[in-house]
Amino acid sequence: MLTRGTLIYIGQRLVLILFTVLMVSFGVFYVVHLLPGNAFVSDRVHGRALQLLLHQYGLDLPIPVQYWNWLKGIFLHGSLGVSLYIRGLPITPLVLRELSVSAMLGGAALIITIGLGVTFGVLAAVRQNSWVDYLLTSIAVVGYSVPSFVIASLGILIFGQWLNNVTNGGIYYPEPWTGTYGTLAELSLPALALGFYTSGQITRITRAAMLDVIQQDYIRTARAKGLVNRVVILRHALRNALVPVTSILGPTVIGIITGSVVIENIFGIPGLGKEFVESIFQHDYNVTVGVFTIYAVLIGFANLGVDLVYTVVDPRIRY
Amino acid sequence: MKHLTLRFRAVQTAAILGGISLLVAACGNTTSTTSGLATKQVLKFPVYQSAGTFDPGEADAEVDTEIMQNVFSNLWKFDDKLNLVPDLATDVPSSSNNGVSSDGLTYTVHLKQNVKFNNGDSFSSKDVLYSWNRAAALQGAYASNLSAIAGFDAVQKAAGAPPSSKNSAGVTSFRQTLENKLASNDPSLQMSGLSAPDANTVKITLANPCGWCLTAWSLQGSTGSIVNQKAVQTDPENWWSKVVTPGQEGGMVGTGPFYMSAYTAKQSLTFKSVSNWWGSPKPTLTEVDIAIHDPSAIAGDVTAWEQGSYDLIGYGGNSGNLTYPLIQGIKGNSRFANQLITQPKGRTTWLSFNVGYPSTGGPFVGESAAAKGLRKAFALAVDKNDLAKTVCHDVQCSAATGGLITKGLIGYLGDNADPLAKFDPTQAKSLLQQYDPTGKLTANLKYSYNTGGLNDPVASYLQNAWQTNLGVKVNLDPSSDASQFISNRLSGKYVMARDGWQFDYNHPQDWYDNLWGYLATASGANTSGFDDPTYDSVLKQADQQPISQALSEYNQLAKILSDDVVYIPLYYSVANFAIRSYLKGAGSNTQADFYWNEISIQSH
Amino acid sequence: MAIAIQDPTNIEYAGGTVAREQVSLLRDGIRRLRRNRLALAATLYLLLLAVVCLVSVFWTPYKPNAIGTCATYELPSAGHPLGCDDLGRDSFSRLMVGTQVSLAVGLATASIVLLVGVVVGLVAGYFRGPVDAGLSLLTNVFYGVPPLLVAVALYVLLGPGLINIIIAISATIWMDMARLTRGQALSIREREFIEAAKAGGARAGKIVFGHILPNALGPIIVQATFVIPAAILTAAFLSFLGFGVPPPTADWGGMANEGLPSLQGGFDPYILLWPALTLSVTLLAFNFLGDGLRDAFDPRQKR
Repeated sequence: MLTRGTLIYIGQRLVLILFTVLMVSFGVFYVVHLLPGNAFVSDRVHGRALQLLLHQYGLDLPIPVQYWNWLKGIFLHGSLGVSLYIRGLPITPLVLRELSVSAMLGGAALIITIGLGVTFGVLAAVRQNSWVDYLLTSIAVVGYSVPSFVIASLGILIFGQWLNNVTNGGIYYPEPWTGTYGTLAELSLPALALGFYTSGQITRITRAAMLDVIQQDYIRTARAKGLVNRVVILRHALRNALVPVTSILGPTVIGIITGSVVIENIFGIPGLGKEFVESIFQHDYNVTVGVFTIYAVLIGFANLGVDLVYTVVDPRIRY
Repeated sequence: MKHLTLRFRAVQTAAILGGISLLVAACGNTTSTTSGLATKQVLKFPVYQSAGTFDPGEADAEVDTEIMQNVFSNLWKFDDKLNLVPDLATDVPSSSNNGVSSDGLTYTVHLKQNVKFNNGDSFSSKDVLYSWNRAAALQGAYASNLSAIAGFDAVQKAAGAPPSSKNSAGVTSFRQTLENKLASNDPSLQMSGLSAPDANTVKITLANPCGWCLTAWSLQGSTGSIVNQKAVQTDPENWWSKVVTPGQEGGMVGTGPFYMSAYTAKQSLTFKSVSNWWGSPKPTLTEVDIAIHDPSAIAGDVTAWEQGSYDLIGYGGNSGNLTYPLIQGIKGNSRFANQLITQPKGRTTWLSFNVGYPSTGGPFVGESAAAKGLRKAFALAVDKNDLAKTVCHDVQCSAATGGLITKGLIGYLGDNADPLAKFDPTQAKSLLQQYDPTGKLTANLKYSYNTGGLNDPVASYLQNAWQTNLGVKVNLDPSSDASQFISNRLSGKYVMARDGWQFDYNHPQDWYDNLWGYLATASGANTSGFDDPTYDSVLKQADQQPISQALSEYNQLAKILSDDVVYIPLYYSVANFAIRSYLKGAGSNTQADFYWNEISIQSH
Repeated sequence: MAIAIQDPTNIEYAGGTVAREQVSLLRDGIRRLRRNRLALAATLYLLLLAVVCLVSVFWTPYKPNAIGTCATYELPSAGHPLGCDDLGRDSFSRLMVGTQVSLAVGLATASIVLLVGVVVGLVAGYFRGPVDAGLSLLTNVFYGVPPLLVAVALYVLLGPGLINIIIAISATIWMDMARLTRGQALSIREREFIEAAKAGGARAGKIVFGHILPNALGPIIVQATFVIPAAILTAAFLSFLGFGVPPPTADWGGMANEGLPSLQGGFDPYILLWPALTLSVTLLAFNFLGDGLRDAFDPRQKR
């Protein structure tokens, strides 16, 4: 499938990503440096000591010069700079570690969202207009209407406290998050809260697509040929119904990436989203810019990846 | 005679030990060692702020110093009762033991001889010179602790500002340059007042007599602390964030009883005890695990504490984080009610008037009778006792009635001794009537503060008080960005602002130098803008005298401030700790948490 | 057989309905909408919300920002039906005032998105060529940027404040409207009546806004209805993270944020619960309404 056209397309997209990332990083850089207040000032740090710290970290240089230094750091040393709040800590290993945590959370959420979404959609379509259909469709609507932090809070309430009280400490959702990657039990609720929101859209689209496909002639043919219904559904209908699902995969992945910001902050998960919010409050400019840049790169590649997956799923699409 | 005494002591100890081991054998308790200790001596607790830096030459945050005090030592330290006792020195110099010369300008310090860094290096006088010269050259927030030493200003000037960083190497080059110069004994970075006559003696010569210096040099985790030159040189920028690996150079090396064995930035810290530590008491804990959490996670952490995942909550300068419902929850739980420890802390909160910045101030600026009268009116209109009861439920704070220096510290004026702590709504109203009969001057006033903790209810209480008792509507000006709020306050961009101070060491100089007067103005910290020649001259004099003489002069300063109504006193902070009962030796005094080598875990 | 004409709009025969009276799309759509029970319920709820919003401007049971109206963390009681928050402020009053922020954000953002998105889409779709390429590039760049994060960055740059939040959110969701409108413009411009207008000498502006826009209105309105909950949701997320309207103004996301510690500590779930539930129901209502509108005005659906 790697035709010349596809390669050119990928090349164009990569250029677009680079352009976007540069614009975003400069924009964010500019924005955070315009803020009054900084990572150092406190009751104790002011006047000359403060000026010295600002000077040491190059914060008194003109912003374009600082940005240029930052760019040089990335392209020449592969380094995103040093943190200001934790004086001198190299940002790149910190951010990469947190990225892996977020990726783990996001991956789990993606599995849940696709698993739940497609399953509910297929079931609802197959049992159209039955109570199963209405129930699952309603769950889907609730899914994409109710904000993820509400789901998360309800989850904490139910699984963290109510279940704990009812089973007298036997089963419960453990708080808080331990270590870097937590345990599987600790991952369950955040991943569910994160994935539930986007699964609603997938359910709806899968259901609609399945309904469309089921009425097609070739499905009737397959049934007429005597194939078992389940085989018909799974092999033929589902395959074609997944095409529109991939069209929404992009926004789904983006929704998970941005949704993780809120979820990580609620559950105290040491990932990129939590770092993003923290670094803003701490005025740790370099970290904010670094996190933002990584997000821009991630989203750019997510979009590109989804578009490429599209060609695999639907051979009619060609770049 | 000396030998006999030693031998007798040895016999005594052996007898006691023998007796104890007999007792243990008789009990046959397999889960505890002698004297009821648990087999696992690992302390676990959360803190709610990331470590900014563990470099004693730079550190300025409480959570950092509370940890550092277990890794780095000073020449002297504060014991649990805040008395000054020797740490690396053999005794506390004074005029009576010839440690301090008669003119008060020369200190002769004798060092202990068996001290080792936790990487095995021996400690000697050259380490003191290195550490203190370095701290002066770094020009950090607490370098001024060393400012009385002769040659301090010259070193600061010679170290100079770091080169403007045209590339990200600017940071490293400043520190690297410093380290290179210090390694080559560059005379420009040696304070002339510091010298080492031999390996176990340090001579300190001051430019002026100094009554607060010994105290300031003993501030733990700060510029008086001793660092290891070799370790710092391996990585001048990040040595303090590296773990100490036996047999390898570098890392957070100090002479204290603990060393850092693991560090995951923004997540967790692990410290292990130094085996065969030179000092005493020898650490019983083998390991300390610290988790770095978000402040909002404290509710879940209390639950974890009740389940035994954490041994204490509130350590590391976070003792104010336990919110009122959490405190009530613990107290109401019969299992844990007696495990909530309350400890007054050396932190005062007050309201500062903008007295000295006319361009941004309001009707309170200046020394006119009207300005002073209005300030007094607002001060007398607030019932401080009622504020403490309403806002803090008398659990998280107590009314500041004895002056701005917190109760229990040197310089506290005495209960109800602060005239501004009075509540006199009648006089307040008459003052207002006298100086602002039309109400125009006091229209549209703002009270600025940063949100969080007790600040919101305090602000609301003040607003209410002025409305009720004075009939004046004051607008609230909250700021959710603490950094921005502090910047504005430091530049005088406010009319009335929440202000406060947490003491560093037990000496009034810590307050009067840093907050008002010419020294505060010079360092850019004079939030109220108050400056007065009388204040300055009394301050200069008091700083040079030993505390026994200086105290009355410092109290004079307090009177100047209260006569001028520069502030409205609000409350003294009270800390709350949740400490499991099986923890022995844990807790805190007004200044800091108790050292880790005093803590042990009983079997439970 | 006599033909009983009971319903003038339906001419019934033994074999079933043959023909219905011709009604305009609008009337037909409204009738279908009325039969959609969920959409009706949603509309009623939203009207109620609007009423509460208006009322709250003039009156609330207690002053919403007055600290100490009741005991902190007070559970729901007779005097305070929804309880009080961590600073002793009445939750019900704050909830009422919160409607102002949410509705303001929702409606203002939808207006801005309508203005910007429709204009960009129409211009790109009608003029095509380099104009379209340029505007599409702009749209694609905005797509490549993480939305919530851009909102945060703009908030950080512009400072706290309701207007700035509206601007920040609008900047991240106008693209879908532009894309939709562009698609509409592209297809409508091929129709004959547009050619006729051009032949008649109509200027581009009149064609775009006088002919193309009215015909594209259907999907645009539906999309706008979905922009409102998206904006409210994003605003709630921002407030929840701490980037919302500055204190002490009440808004649902901020209230939820303040209520989280007490939920996690297990001593007062209500502070978070009320704004969370209200927010969810409001979003559900908007989504149901949008769904209903889309189904009602979609000429392809026969029901």
